[in-house]
Amino acid sequence: MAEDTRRQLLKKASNDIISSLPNVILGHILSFLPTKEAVRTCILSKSWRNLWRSLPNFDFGDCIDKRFAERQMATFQGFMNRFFLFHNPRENSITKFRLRLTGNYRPSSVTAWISAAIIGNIEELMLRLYADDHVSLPQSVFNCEKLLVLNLSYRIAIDLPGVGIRFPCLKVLHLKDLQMLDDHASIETLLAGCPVLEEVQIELEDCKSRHALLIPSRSMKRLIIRFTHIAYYEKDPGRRTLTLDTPNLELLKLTDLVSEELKMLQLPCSLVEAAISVAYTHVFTLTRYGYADMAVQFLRPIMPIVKILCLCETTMRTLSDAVRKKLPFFDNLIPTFQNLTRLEIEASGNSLWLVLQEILKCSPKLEVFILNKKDKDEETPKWRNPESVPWCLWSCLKVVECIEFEGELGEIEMVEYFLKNALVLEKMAISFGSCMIHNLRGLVVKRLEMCQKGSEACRISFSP
Amino acid sequence: MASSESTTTSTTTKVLRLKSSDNEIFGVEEKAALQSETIKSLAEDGYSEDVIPLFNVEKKTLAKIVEWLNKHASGSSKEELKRWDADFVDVDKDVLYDLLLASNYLNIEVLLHQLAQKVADMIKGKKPEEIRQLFGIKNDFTPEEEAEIRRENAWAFE
Repeated sequence: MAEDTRRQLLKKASNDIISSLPNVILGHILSFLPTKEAVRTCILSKSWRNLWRSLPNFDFGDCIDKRFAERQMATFQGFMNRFFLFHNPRENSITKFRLRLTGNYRPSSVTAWISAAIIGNIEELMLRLYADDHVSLPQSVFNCEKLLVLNLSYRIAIDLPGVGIRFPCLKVLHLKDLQMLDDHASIETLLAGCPVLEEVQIELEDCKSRHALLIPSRSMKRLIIRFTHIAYYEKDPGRRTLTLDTPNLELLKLTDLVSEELKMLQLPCSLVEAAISVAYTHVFTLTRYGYADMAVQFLRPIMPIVKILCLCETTMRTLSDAVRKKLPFFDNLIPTFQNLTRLEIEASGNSLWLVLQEILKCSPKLEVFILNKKDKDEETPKWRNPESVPWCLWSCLKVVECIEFEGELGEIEMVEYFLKNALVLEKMAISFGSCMIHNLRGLVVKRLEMCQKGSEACRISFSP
Repeated sequence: MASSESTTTSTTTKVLRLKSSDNEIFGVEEKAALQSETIKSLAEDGYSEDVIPLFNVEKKTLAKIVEWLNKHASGSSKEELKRWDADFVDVDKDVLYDLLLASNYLNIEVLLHQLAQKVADMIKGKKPEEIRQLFGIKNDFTPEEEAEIRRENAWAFE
């Protein structure tokens, strides 16, 4: 009660309603501010001076401008050193720590900051270090038993202890452009120590020495892989492989332009959503059709399971190779895509209609179809009506969206086909690409609005 | 447990009686009232048949709190609730202050979050002098002290 009275008096006397709030509430308020703004409250008055220090979450970054790099680095370094000088992990343990650096600090200083930050109850650690020299990840990270989220990018040297990595609570692991990713054994060692891991994101722009990568996890639900660039050396033609052993996966976003062999050891029966981007490259030891065959074998088992599917240009090209070679992929008798309700295709070139029509034929539950013409350079081929109208157009297709629509004849004819033949269509949304010529736009709108419609309920919308 | 059953049989809905520090009594459906951890533990301690005394909340504040509890137990859609909440926290600083204290005391985490977020939004993007003015904070540093603090935390003031 005395505390209350004091507060009331303070409030009345100074009209300062906010400073008289108890620290726990003020801390709550500060936690909704970006770290920099929270720190700035130190200047308000004496009672605010050290309030920000007791926050549980910090997001420090240096944002170096090259012209003032030296001064800015000195300022940031001074601030960080002072912060940890006063930081008392026994009283204020940090639960969430983010550090984004672009300046070239002494690696040992950065390691020391990280070490100090993770003492206690760290749950989320995000390090994005972009410098010339690698910073060693402190070994004490491997003792952070409460860690839930670990997100590491760029110049971080990770020296995994030989045995005994154990992150008993770790749910989310993101690794981006780390040296460690070139060594498949260390990824496997790391994953083996995370028994409840649910989400993994691995991105590597330049795959150097990695050959065989195995991702084994029974708990994993979401897997995002981006291997986008192949570094080819004459001496090491390599035959890179990627093997997933993730039976409980729900989401798979796979961009792998590097592996020439993809395998899935156990069928992920609960897979809901997949986005697949694979591509044949001439440096592969396989032939183009050999690669198409491999890709089909990888994709075929998951096709009857997924509800949401996104296929990009190169994947469509690979599948069109498969269709041309009549590889046993699409099956009309047992619909290949028997659960598929939403299909998104990012493509425009020659492979488009051939594969699209094959997919539509064997997707009896499709409700939403999105065509995103991402690659503007490729011309849309002429539309040819399929031999018979796919079942989903009669029964369930409700929404068609065309993104980056350019008004080419092939596109217009496809839209007209859907308008005429989709009997339960509710929405046809056309969003024009930025290169669309204004005069043409009017003509396209007129032509499509005149088109005879199979579904009375269908609304056509044009944007922008 | 009773609250989940009460959704099907409205006749058995239990009402808790909450008493403000200035002796006003508010009847609140149990399901709504139990969003407050403090009321929940008082009810479990056997106050539920009787009046639950809330010594630290005045009636004008308790009325607002009860309004919030009822709305958040009414099964409104997410969007509707979002709009309603935005209006709810759009009040004078004095009221905001009382609501913050009350929601902290009553331990209603969602409301405390909303209110803290509101105050944070008021602070966001403002210069120290503007924040001081907005909340009537008296700068009790000497110019030398202030310069010193700015120097120490120069990273944040760049």
